[in-house]
Amino acid sequence: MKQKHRSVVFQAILAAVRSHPFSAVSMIVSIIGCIVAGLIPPLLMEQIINQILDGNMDVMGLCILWITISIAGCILEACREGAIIITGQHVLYHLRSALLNKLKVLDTAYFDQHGAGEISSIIISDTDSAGTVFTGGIVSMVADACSLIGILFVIGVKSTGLFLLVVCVLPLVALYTRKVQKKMLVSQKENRQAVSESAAILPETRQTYETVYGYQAQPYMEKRFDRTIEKGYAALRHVSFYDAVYSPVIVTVSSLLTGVMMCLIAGVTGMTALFGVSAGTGVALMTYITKIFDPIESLGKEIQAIQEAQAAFCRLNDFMALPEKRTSDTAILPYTHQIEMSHVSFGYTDGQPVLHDFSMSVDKGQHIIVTGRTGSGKSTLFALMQGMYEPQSGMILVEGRNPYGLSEKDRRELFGVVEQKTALIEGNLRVQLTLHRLEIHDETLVSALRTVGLYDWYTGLPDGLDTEKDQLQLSDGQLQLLSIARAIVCNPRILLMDEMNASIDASTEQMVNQALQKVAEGRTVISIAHRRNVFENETVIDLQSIAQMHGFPYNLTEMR
Amino acid sequence: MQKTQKTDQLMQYVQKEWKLLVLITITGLIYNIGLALFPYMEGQLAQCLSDILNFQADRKDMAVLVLIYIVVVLIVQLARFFKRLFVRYMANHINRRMKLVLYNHLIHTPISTFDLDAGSLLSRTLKDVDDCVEGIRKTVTEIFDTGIAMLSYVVTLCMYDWKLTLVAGIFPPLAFFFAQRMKKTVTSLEVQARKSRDLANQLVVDRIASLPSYRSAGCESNVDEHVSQAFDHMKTSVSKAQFAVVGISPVYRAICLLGMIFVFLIGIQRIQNGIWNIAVLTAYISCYTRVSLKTSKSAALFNAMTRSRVCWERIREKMHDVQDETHVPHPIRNIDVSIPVAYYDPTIPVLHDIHLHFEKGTITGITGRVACGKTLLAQILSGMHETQGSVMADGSPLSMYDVAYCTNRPQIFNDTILNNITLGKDGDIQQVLQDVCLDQETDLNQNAGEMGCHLSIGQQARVALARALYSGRSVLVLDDPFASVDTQTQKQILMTLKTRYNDRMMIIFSHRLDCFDRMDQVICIQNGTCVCGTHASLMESNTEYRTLVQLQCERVAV
Repeated sequence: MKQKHRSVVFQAILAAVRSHPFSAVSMIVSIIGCIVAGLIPPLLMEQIINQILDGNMDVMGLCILWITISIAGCILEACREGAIIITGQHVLYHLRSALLNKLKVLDTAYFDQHGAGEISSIIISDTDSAGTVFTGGIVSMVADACSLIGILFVIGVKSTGLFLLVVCVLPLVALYTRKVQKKMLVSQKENRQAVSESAAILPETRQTYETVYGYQAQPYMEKRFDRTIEKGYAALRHVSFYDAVYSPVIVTVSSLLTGVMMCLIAGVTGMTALFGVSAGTGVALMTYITKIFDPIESLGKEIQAIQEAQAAFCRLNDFMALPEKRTSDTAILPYTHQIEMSHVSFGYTDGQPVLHDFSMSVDKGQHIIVTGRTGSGKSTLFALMQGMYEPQSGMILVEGRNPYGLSEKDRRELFGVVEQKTALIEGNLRVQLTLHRLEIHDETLVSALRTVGLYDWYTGLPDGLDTEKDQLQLSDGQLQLLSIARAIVCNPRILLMDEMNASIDASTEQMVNQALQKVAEGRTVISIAHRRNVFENETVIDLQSIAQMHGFPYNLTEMR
Repeated sequence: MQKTQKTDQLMQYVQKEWKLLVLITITGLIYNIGLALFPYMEGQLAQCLSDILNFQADRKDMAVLVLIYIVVVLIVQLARFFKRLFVRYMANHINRRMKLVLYNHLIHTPISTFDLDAGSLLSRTLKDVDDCVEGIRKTVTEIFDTGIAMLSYVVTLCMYDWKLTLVAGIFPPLAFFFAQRMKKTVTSLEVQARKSRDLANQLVVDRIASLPSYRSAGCESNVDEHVSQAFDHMKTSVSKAQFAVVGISPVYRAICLLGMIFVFLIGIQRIQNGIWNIAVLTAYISCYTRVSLKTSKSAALFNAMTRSRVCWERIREKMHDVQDETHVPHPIRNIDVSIPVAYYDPTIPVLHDIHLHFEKGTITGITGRVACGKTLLAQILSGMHETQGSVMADGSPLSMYDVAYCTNRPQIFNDTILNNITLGKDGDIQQVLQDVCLDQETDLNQNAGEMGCHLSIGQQARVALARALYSGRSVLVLDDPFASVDTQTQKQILMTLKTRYNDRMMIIFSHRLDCFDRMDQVICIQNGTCVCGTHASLMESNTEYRTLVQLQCERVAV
């Protein structure tokens, strides 16, 4: 199970390495380089001191080497940071792209059940934490482990005695580190809980405004707020304590080590051989001792980061494992009507059919109005026609094709959709109309605006088609007109119009009706509406009566 | 409530913690000055080792030296522990106080301005407090750990050799100035990174929220292309900004290391001349390395200060402490309402030509169709909504503090039922519980849950009613109090209200008209204005009221 969970992130890492091998390689090289460059200067210093003590003052060469390698270490460190950041960002990019690509093939039903906020948080925050774990967890864990081994190796070579001492102390320090970190985590969680409680009081205050103000309940509310703050504060005191105590203890332990080592070298005969034989070695070893506990602390943090990111990993993998749209055949069957639905049954959840054994056909150029009460399946009918869902049984053909398997290009040429609630998307006016279909020319857009009667409004805009969303300042009626314009920019053969809000005044309504009449010319139009008598020769389908006729095959041509 | 005079002054918060600040200063000085002893001690240890190996010193010397070393370490680290602890405590205190002041401000802000502070903005303000305090903590920490520590290192260096220190000491300030020069670049890179990240996130949200539109328009690939470009752009700019933040510090250290050339050159010369020994050389080198390490981090001090300032400026205007004033509710005898026109939105008038009169000891029932303006009238009568006309209570404008107002949807706090009724004011609540028929079934210490979700709607309504009765105010405006209470209980409660609370003025808005025949006055809202009378008179003369009553009878019959 766990293996499977790593998979998306793992794939993203592979993809990042494959697409940018240079940054991955330079990351590894600079990490190794950094560790080596960190190990050498104390050894050189040892040499320098020993030489001086031997009376050999000609050590400037060694000194220059020390400076050069130290500086090289710094530069390598900068390179390492850069390489880790860049590789991490590549991984993040691939991870996000993978999720983005998944969106396109996900079944529409998924989006009915999950809110936009929930899904976007997977793509935004969960990838973020997975990316952080890659750089701050996996990579640095390897790097820290390597540098720990490196230091231990050098100590082992230089001084067997110190090596034995360190090996004895290291597990204790590691245990202490994990213990402190775990305790801190518990208190931090308590604090976070309290913080979210106090944050929850803010909207509550807003929602209970009349009571709080009217009853002068401010002191009461303040007391409640203070209680939550107090709770978080108590937890924070623990965090503060552990946070404050950790590092001093570590420094004390490493100083004790130094002291013990010095005493043993100096005080016990025979120990000199075991610990090292010169003052230079002593200085070098002191430097190593101060360095050896750093990786331990980092390793603890990294383990924690990886543990905390597990939940995000799970969500990412669950998301990637979601069922995808079936790829259906794209064959074109012979057809007699432009749209044919025969014996279609469909429901969002099992056992609750919205449409049952529903049949209808629409001919080219027909203008059809679908009516029926809320929940009678009007919008569902539209969604099925467009191939947003696949019917559980029965067949739908649009110009001989199964709409579920339509290519994006065919879809544009076939359908123009005016939605029930049009929302502006991110971007300028051009994007509002094209929805990022870059091949649509500006002239087409302007002529669409003219068709729906928005030309005057358009000419008054500060930056024309480049006017940003916030500056458009559309009234509800204008928004509907814009939505109609959006539907016709690809010159589709069929227009589907969901009922538009009734919250517009009479004169705007007239404009909307005019626009509808214009765009309906020469097209098949199916609309859900309270509004009638927009088109001449319109045919009305009442889904309510169909539902009552339950199971009765309904054919529009026969109705006529 | 706390008495803070100038809650909009950042320094006030810090000064309030002067006791901790004194402790921090003492421990901080011990720690950071003690730190400068380490290079010296380490040098001595090395020298002693060398002497022993050359048979110039005794083993005892080493033992004494190590003992001193360990004692110094213990003292210094103990001081360090307390300094760290106190700094964190101070930050926690300030954080708490700021949040309380912030909430105090929030809770005393009229709804019109308050409304702008929508949910996300509120929690961002809390986050700003956290960031601001974190900035203060870092600033205080860095003042000692960078400022004082550097100073004591430099003093030590000068004590060894001030000329050498003067020469080699050019490099750390050089690195520091370089760091300051880079700051602008770093900030602008960070701004760009944040922008590109915000844009990418926005596009993702948009992509998902508008997915049906994109899907049905057959342009998912095009949008994904666009989003992907934003991801790519974000990748580049975030990489740059992050590198600028973490990748530059090693470079500063490298600049400082250049100074080591002089240290080695002059140091070796001094040993040759017999002025220095190995202890001094190692101590000097160790000290110099620490100074350069500190330099590379000193930019953090300034960054922390700026960040805290920026956050503070954002929240500052919300940091006014308001003293709670308690209004003693007046007993009201008469309310006279005369309003030409009332509305939420000036372009859409809801009510007009309202002339009403209410008296102490009476119950008035107000009804009307859905969306006729009942809630607006309830808000006006409770003093919550400002209008152009006059709402006078015994000759002076009606204050909301004289009215107990039960809103349409009961407003329940996520707290115990007891606290929901008393709102923290002591007193005996058994009587009101009995009056609203809550006494037998409820555990007063039960938590009502978020928005009262642990209670039934009927229970919520009765808790709100109990709260209104408990408040002891003489005017009760109840907006649909019986919506989810069964008919029997409703009758019982109304009976109690009539008998036990006959010194109050009650105004009840309701759709349920079966009890309206017991009201002293009945008002029907019709076409945006009010028709007053009694149940009998309106039944006779007002078709609208008659229709409403008949409709309800039908519904009951069904």
